[in-house]
Parts: sequence; C-alpha cells; structure tokens
Amino acid sequence: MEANVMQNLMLGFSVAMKWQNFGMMIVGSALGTVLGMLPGLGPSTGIALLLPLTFVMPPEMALITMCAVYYGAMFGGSRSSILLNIPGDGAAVASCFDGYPMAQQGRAEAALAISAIASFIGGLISCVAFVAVAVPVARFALRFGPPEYFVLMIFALAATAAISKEAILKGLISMCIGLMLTTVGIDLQSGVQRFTFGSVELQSGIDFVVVIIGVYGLGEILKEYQTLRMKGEASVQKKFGRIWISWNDWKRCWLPMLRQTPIGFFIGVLPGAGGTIAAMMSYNNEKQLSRHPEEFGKGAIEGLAAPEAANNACSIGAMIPMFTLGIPGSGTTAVMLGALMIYGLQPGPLLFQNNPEIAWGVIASLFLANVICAIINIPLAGLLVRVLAVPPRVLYPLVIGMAFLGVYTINYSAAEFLLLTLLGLLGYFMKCYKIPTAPLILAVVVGANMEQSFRQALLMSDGSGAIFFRSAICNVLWFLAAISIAWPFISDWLQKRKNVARAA
Amino acid sequence: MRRDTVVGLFSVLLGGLYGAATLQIRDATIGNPWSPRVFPLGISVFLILLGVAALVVDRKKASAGHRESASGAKDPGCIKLIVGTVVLCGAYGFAFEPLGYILSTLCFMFCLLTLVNEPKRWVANIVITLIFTFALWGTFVYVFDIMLPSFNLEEVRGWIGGGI
Repeated sequence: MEANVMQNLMLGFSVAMKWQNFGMMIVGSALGTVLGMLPGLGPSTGIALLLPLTFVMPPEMALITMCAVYYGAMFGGSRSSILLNIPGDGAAVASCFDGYPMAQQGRAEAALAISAIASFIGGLISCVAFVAVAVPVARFALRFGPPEYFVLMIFALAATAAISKEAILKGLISMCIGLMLTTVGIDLQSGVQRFTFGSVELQSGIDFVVVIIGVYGLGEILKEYQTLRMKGEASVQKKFGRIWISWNDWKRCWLPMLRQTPIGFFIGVLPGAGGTIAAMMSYNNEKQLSRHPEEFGKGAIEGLAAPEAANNACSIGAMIPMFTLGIPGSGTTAVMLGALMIYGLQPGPLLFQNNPEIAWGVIASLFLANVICAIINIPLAGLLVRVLAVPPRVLYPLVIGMAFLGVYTINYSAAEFLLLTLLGLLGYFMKCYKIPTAPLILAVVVGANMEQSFRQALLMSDGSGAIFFRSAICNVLWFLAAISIAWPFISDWLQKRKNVARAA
Repeated sequence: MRRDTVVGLFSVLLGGLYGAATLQIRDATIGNPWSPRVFPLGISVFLILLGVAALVVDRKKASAGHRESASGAKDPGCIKLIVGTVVLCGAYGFAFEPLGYILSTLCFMFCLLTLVNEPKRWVANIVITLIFTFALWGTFVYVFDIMLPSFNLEEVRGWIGGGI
C-alpha cells in the first residue's frame, strides 16, 4: 500500500477518533443495530429517518454517524432472523435458513455470536480492500467528463433497475418516476419553472429526503399495515447463556467466512446487486462447497457464518462507487450520497482531493465501527434483542411521528407534510404492485446531476448526441449498461440450457 | 385486473400526463428554447414505451395461461388503517404550524396510536403520546437547538376564517 494512502488513513483515524465523532459512532452503531433488528425498518429507512437529525452536525460527524447506522443495521439484521425467523432486512434472509434452526436447537448463543463474528471478519477484510481500491478508482474517475458521467449514471440506473428478468420493466418504470420527480422546480440552467403548477413550495424542487422518507419510511409502514393484526405478539428469547462459540464451531466457520467475503465485496461494488444477492449467493456457494451439504437448513453454523460475512463485505463494497465515482450502488448508499450533496460536498473523485479529512475520516470510521458493532452485538446482544419485543402497532406510529418531524427540519416548514403523505402512498402502491423502489431512490438522488451532465455534454457538442459515444470509457459504459439489461435474460437462458443438458 | 396490467396502464397514463405537462413548459430565453423540455420529454416517451411493453408482456403471459403469484394474506381491516393514517397525516400537515408542535403532535400521536394500537389501550396510548411528544420536543429544542412552531392564535383565526 502506498505511503500516501497510509498517511491519509492516519489522518482519517485522527478525525474519526475525535471524541465527538467517536461518541456519535457508538450511538450510530447501537441505533443501527436496533433499527436493523426491527423487521420492516431496514438500513435505508433508518438512515433516511435519521438524516434530517444530522443536519445540525458537521459533515464528517454526520457521515460517520450515518455509516455507523448503516453498519450497525448490517450487524443487527440477523438478530431477528435467528430469534424470530423474520429477517430484519432483505440481506438477512439467508441468516434465517440456519440461524433459526440453531436457536430452536438451543444454540441461540452460538448463532448470535457467529453472526457477529462473521460480520466483523467480513467487514474488516473489506475495509482493507476498500482502502486498497478506493484511490486507484478515484484517480481513474478524474478522466470522466460530462458525457462519461451521464453514461455512468445510465449504467448505474440500468444495473439497479434490471436486477431480475421479471422485474426489469417495473425497475425501469420506477427509475423513470424517480427521474420525473427530479425535474420538478426551477430549472437551474434556464430559470424556467417546470411542473410547479403555480405552487411556491415546489419552485425549489422536491427534496430527495422527503422522497426517501415517504417512499421507504411511510410507504413501508402502510404496506406493513396489511399484516399488522395477523402477526400477533412476538415471543422473544430474553435470557441467554454465554454468547460465544466453541472451538469446533470456529473450525467449521473460518474458511467459509474467508472465502465468501471477497464474493460479497465484489457484489457490493456492482451497482444494483445488493446484500440480499450477496448473502444468497454465498449461502448457495457454501452449500455446494461443504462436506456436509445435508446439514444446511437444519442448523449448520457455516450456513449462518458465510452469508453474514458476505453481507457485511457487500455493504463496504457498495461504498466504493459512492465515494469514488459519485454513483450509488444501492438504496442505502443513494441516501448517503444525497447526504453528501446536502452538506455541499462533491461526491466522486474530487472528494478525496478537496476533502480528504472527510473521505478518509469516514473510511477510518468503518474500521472502528466494525469493532464497536462487534462489541455491541456480542456482549450486549441479550440486552438489545429486547427491542424485538416492542410490538409493531406501537412502533409504527412512533416512526411516522419521527418521519414528519424529520421532514419539518429540512426547510422548517410543514408545507412538505402533504407531499410526504402522497409519496408514502406512492411507495405503498409500488410495494403492492411489486415495483422495486431502489431504482426510484437512485434516480431521485442522481437525476439532477444526470440531466446537468446530459445538457452540458450537448452544449459541448452543439447538440450532437455523438458526444456520448466519443470515448472508450463511454463505449465501455454503454456496453456494461447493455449487459446489465441483457444479463437476467442471458442467465435465464444459460440456466435453461443447463437444465436441459442435465435432464438429457 | 392483473397486477402488471395495472402497472402498464399506470405507466402509460403517467407518461402521457407528464408529456402533456412537459409541452406546457415555457421556452428558455437563453440558448436553445427547447432545452428545459428535452430531458423530461425523453423520460415521458420512455415511460410510455415501458408501459406499453409491460402491457404487451402481460397480455402474452395471460394468454399463455401464466398465473400471477398470490399477493399474500391481508388483514381485512388494513384499509381502515391506511386511509385513517393518510387522513391523519394530512390533517397534521395543516395543523402543525397554526396549532404549534406540542398541541398538534399530542393530537396526532394520540389519534394515530388509537387507530393503530386500538382504543382499548388508551392508557398506554396517552403515556406513549406524552413521552414521545415531550421527549422529541426536548431533544430538538435543547440538544439540536431547533425551534419548533408554537401555538399561533392569529394563524388559527386565519385558518378558521379561511375554512369558513
């Protein structure tokens, strides 16, 4: 590793270790763990709800807090998978497969411990990989001009929208709705009002925080109402023995954790492919590689360790495109990217040049938050899981109240409450009709920049669209965007061929 | 109606309305007069095409006998919860500034908890409402140094007068 990188990392540690930042890191990690545990409130919703509260903080503290919440949520997501068989978020689905059977067999302590240990190891290795990869990628991204950025955003949106063959059209529709929302307000380049319908409040545009809180927060709760009274009261194990693993458990887990971490990290770097895919892929991989595949699904400890390591590695990997290229790879990183913009920071390669204390402070905080989360999630697991006993019928009204207050702090105006409610209904509609919401959020965050890059590029070329194909970078990105759209169909075709060959 | 048919129709309709609204945008006075319309028009056309594609794919699936996956069991009372929450949220938006944070939030949270946590748990609902309202008020005012709106008699008069 370059000496320069080490110096910057030391600078980062000096920022992250300031007592105020360190204190917020602890608070964020604990809060994130709790939010991650609660089914229905994933990291995206959690960060979106907390985002307005960070407006009073300096940028580095706000970002460190949000990263800690994100990280804590990744650790916490598996708690409810293990104890209730209900994943805290999508990425913790694979933890249900063996985590819950382990708890049923009286091995909840080992399950809670290995999920935290695997998350810690996966996170730590990925942090090192992040440090190694971030600077070269950021340096490469300095070659990007407006046309390259426009095509890069097309690629990011296409990759997120085309996550599966079934949802490809719906993903693209979701993306278009997000882009539509970004065009509301006064056009900064021409001064013309667009889609304001005479409303003064809409002249400054729709704040992306309102969209995120509405679609993720309120929309999710309205959807959860559909089954609220059918769930009954959750009975959670509250008394535990020593939360740790045996030597035999460790021997079974160390290799699966190490070999699934790079897979999770790589999936995280790809736009669109999130923690759920990383966890599921690593679980299936591990099952294929295991000497005891028959034990998977019945409480195999490596079946819990592998997806947990991959899931956390993925969450770190997802931050690479966000910090180095300025494009979010997932809904959660989209929220964080938006936060960077709110603080007046330019996400992308220039962040490392212009604000090294922030970029490296956040990177260093990931190392520290990893340790803090491990401490919170192993010795304090028994205490924290009590949160799972809070019934959703009490929790949801509180979250709604918090959402409204958070929105008020954006402009100190209640004018956006109605907009929040309408966006909540939009989120509910999208969830009911199985339209993915992540492309919408990504589009809302990058939409304004995307249009700006598009128009700047056209100005540069006197209106000729050929500028979007002028460089090798543009062409490679177009190719990647096309592959992203075609990949679900290609993989489906390959699978069918494989099945036919197997049957023959 | 099949789920994807609704999505397709929604997409076509939304794209059409958005496109029509795009054409109403004023010309730019500097540079290309069409420049504020180009990007939204592209989105509109793409959205309509996606909607049409969704409808075509869905028709094909339907004629091939493909059945949609079940949407899962729903609580029959959920509509009451959803409509009630939306109405309360709208009312909170109108009442927040004239009534002030404390009064409006006390009413909003109590009504919302009564709706979601059921009226029979009224004692718990009152306690949670009070703790939530005052704890957040203290946090915002004393920790974050953010002033929340207080009761405004003039605004309430204007509000009632406007309503009448």
